[in-house]
Amino acid sequence: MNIYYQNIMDHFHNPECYVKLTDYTTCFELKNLSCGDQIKVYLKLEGDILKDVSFEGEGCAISQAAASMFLSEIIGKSKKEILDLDKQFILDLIEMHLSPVRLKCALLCMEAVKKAILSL
Amino acid sequence: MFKQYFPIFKNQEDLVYLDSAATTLKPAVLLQSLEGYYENYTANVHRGLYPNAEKVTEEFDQARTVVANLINANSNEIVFTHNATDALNTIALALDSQQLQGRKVLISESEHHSNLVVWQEFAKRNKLELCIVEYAENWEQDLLDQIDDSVALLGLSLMSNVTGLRPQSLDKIMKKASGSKVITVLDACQSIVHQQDDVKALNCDFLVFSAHKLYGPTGLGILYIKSNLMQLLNPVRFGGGMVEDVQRSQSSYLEGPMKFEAGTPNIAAVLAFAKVLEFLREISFEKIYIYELELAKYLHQQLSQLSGFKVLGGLQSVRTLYALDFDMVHSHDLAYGLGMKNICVRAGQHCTNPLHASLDSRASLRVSLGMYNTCEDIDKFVLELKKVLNFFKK
Repeated sequence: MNIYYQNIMDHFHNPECYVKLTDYTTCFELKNLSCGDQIKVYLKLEGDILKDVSFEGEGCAISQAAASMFLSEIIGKSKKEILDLDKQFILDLIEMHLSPVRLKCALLCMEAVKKAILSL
Repeated sequence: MFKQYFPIFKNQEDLVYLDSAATTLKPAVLLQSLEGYYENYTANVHRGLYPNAEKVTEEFDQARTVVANLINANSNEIVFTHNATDALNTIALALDSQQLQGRKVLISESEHHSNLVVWQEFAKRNKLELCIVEYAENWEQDLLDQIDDSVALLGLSLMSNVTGLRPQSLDKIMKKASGSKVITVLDACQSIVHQQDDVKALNCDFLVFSAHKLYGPTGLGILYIKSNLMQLLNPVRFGGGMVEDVQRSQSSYLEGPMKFEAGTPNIAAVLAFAKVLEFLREISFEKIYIYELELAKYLHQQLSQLSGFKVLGGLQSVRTLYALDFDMVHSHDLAYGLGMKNICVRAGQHCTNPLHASLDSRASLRVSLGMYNTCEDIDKFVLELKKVLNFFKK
């Protein structure tokens, strides 16, 4: 039985950026009401540019793998570039069809990062 | 045994449906009724004078009696709503908060959000204290201890949609509530399909459930209102269908359930639900429940042989619904993996966030039985569950 691609499982078992930054500029915690997933993201900004980012939390393989993939892709981007990203950016990283319910899991990290930026 | 009555299995032979607590599958008799109404005698209700309209009105009024008989109510105590949540909202809107001032609203922590958020908002808007009894081993005793004349309203489910358990002290709770003049609101959404409570024996003021969890159509809720309250309460939605007389500047309203049914009701659903109830009665509710209990025993036996998870509410007793929280794998991943084999289970918090938090569970996998399930369904579920768990071990 093969439920998810190996790439997703690799990120799930060994997520990137899974640590709490100590010198972060801003952080934000978000929950997915339907499944209880929660994520907290830490952003270190220098001016307009995201210099470093990390997350903590727990959830399903999709939410954890999506967070790992997404965060490692956005380092170096400007705040506006990050705010302009849409769900397709996540879907291209995940490379699998997601139902509306599971899409919420996959988008949780991106939503948290955007809310962290908007909270500044 | 009963699978033959449900056409979905002819269209999806491999379907293993273990999510009846979310909604039940639909028997052929329901589809035939919908088709009959829409193809052969469509008309509005309580209006037209032509034969089709008269037939619809007769069947609609008879449906109210059929539903009333299910819970030993009188037909003038049954209101048709959109769903159970709508029924609970209707109660909250109709109650005269002036008479409740200075008293508390009491609910249990194991309530579905529909029987929690409504009372949260009701308490907030009417400046009443909301007391939520924590879900612990002795929560029923705690609830009993809190019932006195300082309580205005008690909201309680007859079967939790997470633990699958019925309050064991229900009789004591209802007696004490009645003695303290507490308004009682019972949520029968999960229980009604297995055990059809008698509202007179329970002596409750309100009881709600949704038709779609009892092999009926979506878009139809049932609201039982005890007759003396039915007379006292004022309507909450206004328009056609609920008026007695309308003048330019004021109107008077109907008595009885129709005062709560403004606008055209879900006629097709009401007629179809009555047919479903007649169909279930012909088979015998008792026979169905005995069969479900046999299945539940088998499920309990199979779950007892597995490990690596906790059962919310414990695995001590046999019941038709279990929510399982696995140590190593998130319920979403399990449900997704099972879904690949067309095994349908629910994952998440099942609209009971406070209860999950209290039980220290981030999410759970819920398995719930219906009359169409078989031991083979349970075997297939267990077999595939083991495979999914194994995948995540790698």
